[in-house]
Amino acid sequence: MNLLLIEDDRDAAGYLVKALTEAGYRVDHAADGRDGLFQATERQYDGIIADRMLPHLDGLTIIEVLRKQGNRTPVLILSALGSVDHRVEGLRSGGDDYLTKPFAFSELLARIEALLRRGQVGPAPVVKLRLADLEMDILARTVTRAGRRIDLTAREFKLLEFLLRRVGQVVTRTMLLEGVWDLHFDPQTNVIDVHLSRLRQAIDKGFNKPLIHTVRGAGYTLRAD
Amino acid sequence: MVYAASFATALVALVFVIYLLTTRFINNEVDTVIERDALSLLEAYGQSGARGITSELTLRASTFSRINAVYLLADSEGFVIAGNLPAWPVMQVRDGSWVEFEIEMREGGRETGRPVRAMVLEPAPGLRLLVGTDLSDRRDLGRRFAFAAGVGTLLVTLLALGIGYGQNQRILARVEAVSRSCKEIVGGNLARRLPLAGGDDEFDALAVEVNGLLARLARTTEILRTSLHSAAHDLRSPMHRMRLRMEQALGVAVTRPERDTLEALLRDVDHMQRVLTALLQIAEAESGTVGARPEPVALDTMLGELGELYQPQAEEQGIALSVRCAPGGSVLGHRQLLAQAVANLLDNALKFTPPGGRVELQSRAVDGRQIISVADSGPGISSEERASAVEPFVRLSNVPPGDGSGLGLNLVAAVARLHGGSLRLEDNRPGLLALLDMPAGSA
Repeated sequence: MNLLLIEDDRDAAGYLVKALTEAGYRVDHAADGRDGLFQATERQYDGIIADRMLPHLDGLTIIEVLRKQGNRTPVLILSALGSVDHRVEGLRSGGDDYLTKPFAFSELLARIEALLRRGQVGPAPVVKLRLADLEMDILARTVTRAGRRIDLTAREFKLLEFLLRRVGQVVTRTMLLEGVWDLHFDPQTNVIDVHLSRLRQAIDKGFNKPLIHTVRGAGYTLRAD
Repeated sequence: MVYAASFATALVALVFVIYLLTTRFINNEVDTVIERDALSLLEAYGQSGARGITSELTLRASTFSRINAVYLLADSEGFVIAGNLPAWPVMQVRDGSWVEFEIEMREGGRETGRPVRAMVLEPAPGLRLLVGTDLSDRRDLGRRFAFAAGVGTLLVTLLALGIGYGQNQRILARVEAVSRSCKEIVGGNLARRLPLAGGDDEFDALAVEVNGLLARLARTTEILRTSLHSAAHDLRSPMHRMRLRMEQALGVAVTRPERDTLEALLRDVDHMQRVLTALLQIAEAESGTVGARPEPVALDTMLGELGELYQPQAEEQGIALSVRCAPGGSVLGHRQLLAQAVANLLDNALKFTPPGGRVELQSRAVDGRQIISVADSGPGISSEERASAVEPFVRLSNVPPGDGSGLGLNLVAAVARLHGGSLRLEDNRPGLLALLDMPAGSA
């Protein structure tokens, strides 16, 4: 997977390139907006990570120009600005994403992974989601495991659907809060963890192989091992 | 209306005073004229006796030397000797006394009484002289005066009422226009200015002044916004590098103490980040520079979702969390900020309520306002500390320092103000009752 990092903070960029390379990505770095846009149009990248405030061209303008050229490469905007305004908030509905600095590297990794997967998934509507012996029928709104019906609340269903659409990916707490509740803030208590432990009770209790796994310091992942 | 009424009252009082003064002046005038006339008649008597006065009287009475003059010379029995009265009208005979009486006259086939004021004199024993003035003209004048004053006052009062009403409507319309503009400005549109009527009146003069102030406010707000952004940027960028370096160091750390230290440092950076974010959010909410446009936020939906988000956590803590929302209530504003404000209140309530307690999240409409309340059965906040609880960084005496930003209630209060409302903390007997009171918005 090829990534382009457009970041004028050389120190931060150096660390990110190193960490992303360790995580298995091939990363190019551009130090300003103009170079970044040039590289982004010159080569085909799977994803772009761009700082919001850049010399010459800011990150949001880069997205605009790329989209006008018909380039659909997903972009993750990094912002050190005070507020998350409506322009940035609009990124998530447009298939792009944003992250406020400073962030945990695990959060960045999880978001990039999600962004890259989103770019691959076709628009074909899925009716059934499966993982090992767990099956979800989205239309009938039923969940079974090993043929046994599991009763979930509406929110637990949505939560499980969100995870089932990202099998094998790390999903962070903020991603869950945004994706399942459409809330863009950091609650001080561990409300999300309690929801996850409820869901875990419902689908993993009484089965040998747990499907919901906690990723230490990052979030959760759904996988069959 | 009040002004018109007091104006009319003042006018009536003024006219009455003028009436009193005028009648007194006229009365004095009448008396002076009579006295002068009588004196000259006595002089005539002195010079040529009863004959002289008789001829003088006849002359004066027939030539109308004085308008409305009334004369009568009679003997002590009341027999008329000379003058223009048919008979002696009064009984008093004291020398120099004033009398008032009416004389009957036929005018156009109608009997009318004409008032007379007169002086009675005794030029000589057995001789009585009456010198007076027919007051009917004066009486008519008084009546006309009163009539004119009455009609005049009525007209002026009606006019005052009309003008007052018109003026009132005009002022109301201008105040209305100004108030609309102000609401828009408070709502975040700092480019809005007070409308000018184009005239040269006090309102426009005031509006020009206020507009000058608004321009300054807009400039200051813009400066504040830019400095907030650069402050955020200048703090977040090094924090970002710091965090990345720590994570990298954590990746190569070997010993347990190294790892523990780095993890503690990461927690500190995250805490700093939370405080910074909260500060920026408060500053933005207070200065009304929230990027997004206000939209109708359905409270029942939002609160229902928040209640459901916190339900498992509450159950985990053995707290009964109930949500009761009046359907259809909405507020014009920012959903994310409102949700965060309510979440902060719920966070607090759950943090301080002991197991077995309860937390109630409610919303209700009161007089065009929406009140969201979070009530808990925890220890509450003492009345002395309640006011300072919304001050930045205040740690209450019974609260151990935690990992929160210490700005939770501040943010709630700032969000409330951004929405034109307020945060009130009250005694829930026992516990804390937090009320988020905001004007209702159309959905």
